[in-house]
Amino acid sequence: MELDDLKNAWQDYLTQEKETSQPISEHLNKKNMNVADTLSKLSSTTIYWWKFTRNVIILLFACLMLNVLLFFIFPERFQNLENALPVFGMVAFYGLVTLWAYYEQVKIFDIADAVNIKAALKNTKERFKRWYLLTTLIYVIVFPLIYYVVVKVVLQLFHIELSLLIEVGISGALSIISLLANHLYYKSTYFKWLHSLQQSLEELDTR
Amino acid sequence: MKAEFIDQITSHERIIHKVCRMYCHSSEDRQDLFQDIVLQLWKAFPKFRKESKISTWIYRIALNTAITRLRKETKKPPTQDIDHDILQIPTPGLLLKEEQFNSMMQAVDRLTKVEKAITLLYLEEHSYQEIAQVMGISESNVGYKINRIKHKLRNTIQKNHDGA
Repeated sequence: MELDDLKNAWQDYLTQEKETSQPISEHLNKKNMNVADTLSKLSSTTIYWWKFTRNVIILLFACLMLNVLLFFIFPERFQNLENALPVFGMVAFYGLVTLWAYYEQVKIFDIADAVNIKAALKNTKERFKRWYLLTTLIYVIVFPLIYYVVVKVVLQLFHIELSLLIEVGISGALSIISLLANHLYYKSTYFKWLHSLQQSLEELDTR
Repeated sequence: MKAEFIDQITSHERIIHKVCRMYCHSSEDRQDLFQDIVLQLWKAFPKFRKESKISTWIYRIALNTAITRLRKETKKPPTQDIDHDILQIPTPGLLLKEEQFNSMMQAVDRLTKVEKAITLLYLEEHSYQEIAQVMGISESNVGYKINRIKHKLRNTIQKNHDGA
């Protein structure tokens, strides 16, 4: 059988598929047109963390606002608020950066605006590379700051005193571990997919 | 707009099913891809200018989604993971035996993602010009690739036949 012979048979192919599938309207209603719910499995994981981070940030801001409010009502009971505020601020900042990163990541999978398959492949690949580079650069700055704050809080909690150099060293080491873990996660999850996009692109370009 | 979208897509629903069948082996994966395609179509619908045929537009978005999407990797080799539903299709025409059809579909399954897209458009009687537009390559390149696909399929079937 040749490909041209398959053409005739192809027209009869999947005759029963439509009858067994859900109507389009149900697909739309079920997911309520929500991007966050309709991407494929791995990008759904991204959505999960996006939602998680968003909720954590909302909670943090609510706590912050509550504390500030209570400080104005009972100033005598919140003598250490000036120490707590930078911690809250840093965690909230970290949350906002993470939220932005995940939001941008979701946009990578949006190929609706691509004029053809080649453009879709090229855009997706470039968007992902740009996003990965940018978020890594941002986290190179954010991780040491957030870890420094966390180290400070933990040390204060256990009444431990360390020199600034050691505190900075611990923060730096934790940052490197986090960045490395992040890189390994993306390498195992996304790099193979990225390579597949590159292969398809090269295949389209070659004759 | 939603009603118009549902109406237009429902009347061309078979296209999405064909793309899903071409790229996915399991029923679950097909449902996921179907969902992704419908979402991308919905997002692109306001920009659809009706300058091209709606079927070509649906093919473009559906194939874009199928080729670029990030999906959970299956550990089973794709060539051994042919859906049993494929083997249960009605006999497609008097002259074509079901066995030959299945053998051809298994060979198609071994093609690359790009080759599958071109094959699908070719089977759907799209012109070289339309295939070139959807793929983003020249018409001469389409012709070259179709010839290569035919050659590849012939070789795969021959190898399978010799090995059996």
